[in-house]
Amino acid sequence: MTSAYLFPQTVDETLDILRRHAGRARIIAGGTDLMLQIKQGKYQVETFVDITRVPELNGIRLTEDGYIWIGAATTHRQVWESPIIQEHATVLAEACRAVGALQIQNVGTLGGNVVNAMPAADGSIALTALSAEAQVAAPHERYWTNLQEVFSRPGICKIDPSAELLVAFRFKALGRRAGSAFERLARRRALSLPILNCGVVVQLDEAGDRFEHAAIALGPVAPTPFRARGAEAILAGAPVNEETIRAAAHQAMEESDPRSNILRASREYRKDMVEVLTRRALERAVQQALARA
Amino acid sequence: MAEIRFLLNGQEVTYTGDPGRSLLYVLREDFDVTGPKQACDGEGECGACAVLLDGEAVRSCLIPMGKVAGRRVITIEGLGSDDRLHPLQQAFIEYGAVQCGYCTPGMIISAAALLLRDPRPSRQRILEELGGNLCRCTGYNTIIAAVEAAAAMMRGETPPPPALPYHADGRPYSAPIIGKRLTRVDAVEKVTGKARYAEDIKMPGMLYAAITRSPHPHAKVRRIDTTPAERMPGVVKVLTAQDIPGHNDLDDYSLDEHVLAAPGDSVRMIGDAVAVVVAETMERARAAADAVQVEYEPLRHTFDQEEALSPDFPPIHAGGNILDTYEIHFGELEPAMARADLHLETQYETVFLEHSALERETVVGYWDENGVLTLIAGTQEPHWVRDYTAWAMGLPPEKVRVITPPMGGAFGGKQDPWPVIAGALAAYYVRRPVRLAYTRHESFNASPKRHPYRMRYRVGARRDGSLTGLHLRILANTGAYDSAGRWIPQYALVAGGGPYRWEAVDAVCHAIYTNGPKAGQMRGYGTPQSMFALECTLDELAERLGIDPLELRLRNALDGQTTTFLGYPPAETFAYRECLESIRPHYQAALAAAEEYNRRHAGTPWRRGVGLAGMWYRFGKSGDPRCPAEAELREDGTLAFYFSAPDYGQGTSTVMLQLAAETLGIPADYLEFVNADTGLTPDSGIQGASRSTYWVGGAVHQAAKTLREQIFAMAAEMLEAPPDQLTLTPASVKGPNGQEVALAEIARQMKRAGWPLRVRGVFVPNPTLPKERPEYLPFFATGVQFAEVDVNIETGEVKVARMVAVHDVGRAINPQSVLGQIEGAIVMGMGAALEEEFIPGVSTGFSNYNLPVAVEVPKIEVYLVEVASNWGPMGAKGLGEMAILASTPAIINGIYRACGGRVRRLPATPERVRQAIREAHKR
Repeated sequence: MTSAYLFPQTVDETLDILRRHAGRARIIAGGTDLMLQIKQGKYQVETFVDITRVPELNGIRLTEDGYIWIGAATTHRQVWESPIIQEHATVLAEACRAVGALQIQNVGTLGGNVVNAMPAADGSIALTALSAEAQVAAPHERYWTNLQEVFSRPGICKIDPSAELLVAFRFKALGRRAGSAFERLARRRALSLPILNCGVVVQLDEAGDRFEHAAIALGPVAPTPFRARGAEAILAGAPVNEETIRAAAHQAMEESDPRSNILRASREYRKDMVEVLTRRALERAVQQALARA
Repeated sequence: MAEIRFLLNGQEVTYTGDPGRSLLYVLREDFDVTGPKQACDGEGECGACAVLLDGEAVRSCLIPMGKVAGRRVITIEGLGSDDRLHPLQQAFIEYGAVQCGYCTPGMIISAAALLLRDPRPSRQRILEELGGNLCRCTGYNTIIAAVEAAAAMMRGETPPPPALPYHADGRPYSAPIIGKRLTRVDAVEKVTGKARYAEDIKMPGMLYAAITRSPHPHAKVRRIDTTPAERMPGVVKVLTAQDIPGHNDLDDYSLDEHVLAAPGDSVRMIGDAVAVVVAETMERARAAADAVQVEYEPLRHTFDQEEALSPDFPPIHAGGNILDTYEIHFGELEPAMARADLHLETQYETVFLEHSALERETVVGYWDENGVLTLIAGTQEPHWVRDYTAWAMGLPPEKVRVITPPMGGAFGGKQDPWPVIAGALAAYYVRRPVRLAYTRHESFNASPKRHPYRMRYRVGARRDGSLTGLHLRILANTGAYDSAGRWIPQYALVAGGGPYRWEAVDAVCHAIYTNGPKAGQMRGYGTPQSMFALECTLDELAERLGIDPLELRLRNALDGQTTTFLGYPPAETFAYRECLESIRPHYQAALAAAEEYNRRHAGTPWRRGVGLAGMWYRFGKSGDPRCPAEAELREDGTLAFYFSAPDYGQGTSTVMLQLAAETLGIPADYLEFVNADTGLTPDSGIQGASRSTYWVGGAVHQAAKTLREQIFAMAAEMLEAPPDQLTLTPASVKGPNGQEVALAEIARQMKRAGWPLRVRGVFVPNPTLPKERPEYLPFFATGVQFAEVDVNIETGEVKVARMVAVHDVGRAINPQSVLGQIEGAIVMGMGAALEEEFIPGVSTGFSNYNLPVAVEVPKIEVYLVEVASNWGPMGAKGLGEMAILASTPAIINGIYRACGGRVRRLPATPERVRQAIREAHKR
């Protein structure tokens, strides 16, 4: 039985409430995962702290230094509908549009997608590909941390839900000669957890001949959203052609370590599909980069 | 506790209570706003609970009340009213988008949110908006068409007319409408949220029941201790096997199934029941059900029919692990095989499937003021369920009444009397109304499933394609209990041979006990599995012989006269050959289009194939072929019909009224009816085996004829005119010279004369059928379909682009409902082909059992070969189950034709398709 449902107006107020309730309060954003987890008996919540009305946690901004800033309580739909995201972080727009169903996207937040810490959360995979940082408000400090540092293991996030708050994400806006794409494979074409998903970001050189650098994020091929560093290394400095892309996709497969899941797919199939999805995503990202001269 | 004010459908309201409660719960339980449904049961997986929150569609099951403070909530009840329907509500009715109606409120609300944002949405936008809303009846196309039409109406444009089937020659359907009615009689209440399904019914002092169920697939029950549950607050009664007042079994419905497992007895499946708990609230009932202490001794278990047959596997039931066996021996097999130029052996396998009606099993039980134990519950066989309930309760049947409210889908899943008996037991003792509603997880575990089959075919054929011999062995997994599984082998073999001339058949099917969920009745009853294997085998055979699959079937198709391998010829009209001929031009065009597609997509991983499959289905049941219905001239002059053809979305009520109206010669809108209430309607048998339109419809037709004769006989005296010169109007009878007498007046006169105001019509299909007739009447509906299937050869993903179906269903009484049944069955068959699989102990609900979603649905064209039946009402035949039999094999054959991969175990997941492609390349 919940006794209180609070709407703090600021980050500090939120932290203050958490401190006063000493572990018995729980942050709720969209609630689309939390309501289910409560129903399943995973949590009992005495006090809900609803952060969706904290102005600082909402919105999407392109900053002067070329970063995109997204409040943690921004909904998936707000993210993919944003022209900034569609233009400068296509991978994230495509990922947020793939989450659950539109009625989930209307309510569920990007921050919630991340703190649930599932290794194939669509939003997390896209943010991982974007090398995003997360801002965390702790009792006596605020700090930016590499997003990958936030994940601990499946379903477990390092941000302490009884004392800390995920505030925002930031990452470099993709501009000239940069491109990104998200690919996803599932047992059903909507309303389905992925067999596999893949987000990539590429930065080509001025001429569009070589990869300057690239990022490849994959899930679920490890306990947390996974960066295929070996494949990224193959791309860095390599010529933009089919051979390079195939080599990188193959390497991504080699370094992935997925598990078999009776409801979704076997390890072997998933490994094979890493190669296909990575190649497809790279091809589309390169196309976008080449179009942005 | 919190006090939360918000606007509910324009009214300011206040909720006082737990702010963590879901909006859905509060709407339904606190405000009695029951339009939003809970189908997936709070997992956010179905969209049936969608409401508008500040104009945006959300799933109310996932919204805590705390979030609702100060906001505007609009439910289906607030969108329009009976006399001022919202254009979406209007369009859903007109375009045939409403079947069972359980998804309808969520669909309409979601579409309303879309149209608020985008008055001219593309088809893609509609698919995206509705993509997360599940529907199990319609196959989605009519819903999408309704949204497009509503959008057009709201823009002041004229939308295209609602889709109907085509005649076999390609003409669009425009035949006169029987009974002058096309739209559903119950559609208005379903689009406005007014329809009260079992879970929407509230009664004063109502209690809640929950079931203690086994977590083990197989275990001996050592001891049951109910005291911890009884001590819990709010618990009224805890019932175990010893409390069952009559018999602790399901009589002849399920030969070996207990209602509750007693100490010393075994539980044989996950979800097997041990106790029924009744408490003041649902939560308390469920908590107490969990608190019942059951000591189990786990036993060796298997979900696999072959393992259950192995000599070292212990018997699951005392009589061994074979429930029943059926054999067909026709002609001499080995000589027939010797006449063949080619022999082909194949193996196919299917899995457990879950009906997934959006309405979960729900029963409201109470003693009425006359001491009759009354059960309001969705069931397909109210009279039989009444008798089973009376048997278990130790009551005479007249002391039990079963009433069917609107039903949220069934598909065979609501034949099982178990939930009604459990609800009756709960109400029996407490003397207060009780509601038992399964959770979705419980429904997944404990409701009957489709039988998984393992099938081995050996067929012989000559070079010219003519079939010689069929050797068929099937192992059907019947799960833990009979649950009407003992006739499954019979049906399996009838479908397994198909509508073809075999020179000899040797076929054996065993139904095997395992510790899987009890397998029972599901659309097609044991036939879709073997039809799938046969039609895939014929596809393989056609390829080996180098013969077009359509020509192979034509060469062997049965006609209406030839003796079938069942030992007798069909006794109703039989138009399989006409179906095959009718599909030919469409099929050939599709083959050419596929070639073109593959040329254009040569540089991509996508390949298209066209897969063909035929079907036959023997409609109707064994036993007495007579069927009654009643018609009444009420004293106030209204005309009413009484029949039992439970309407769980197929539209039987509408069809019955159409037939009555056509027979009487007045519009259906003037007729009243009562359907499926054992206190008020005659026993017209069960709703299954696609028998309603033919049998119950025949009875309604007879009853209408008899009533009309009675009315005219009395009116002839009153008007002093010969009966054959009278005409019936909705309120009167008119004579040849302008004289007229009101129906109410005729009713009074009939009553005074001692004539019955209510008459009975009994339908007998063929009065000349010999006494020595087969156990099942040889009545068949047939059809053929093809699927245009796109396969991604890298990933194994499959998209069904288009399906064309040609069916022989006799005459269409309601062409819109015919289309709805065929489209819905095709999409259900697609689910079985591509994504549905119930895994015992793993599958828990809609989050991991993949029902088809709107974005996956192909374009569907339906053609009807209208060869009128010999004896059915107005020429109708059976229909409801047919289409699913052909769609699954057509899709699997399409996958093969696209990529060369032959999928032998359903469903054809991307992984299995890719595996099949690899194996094909190895060869």
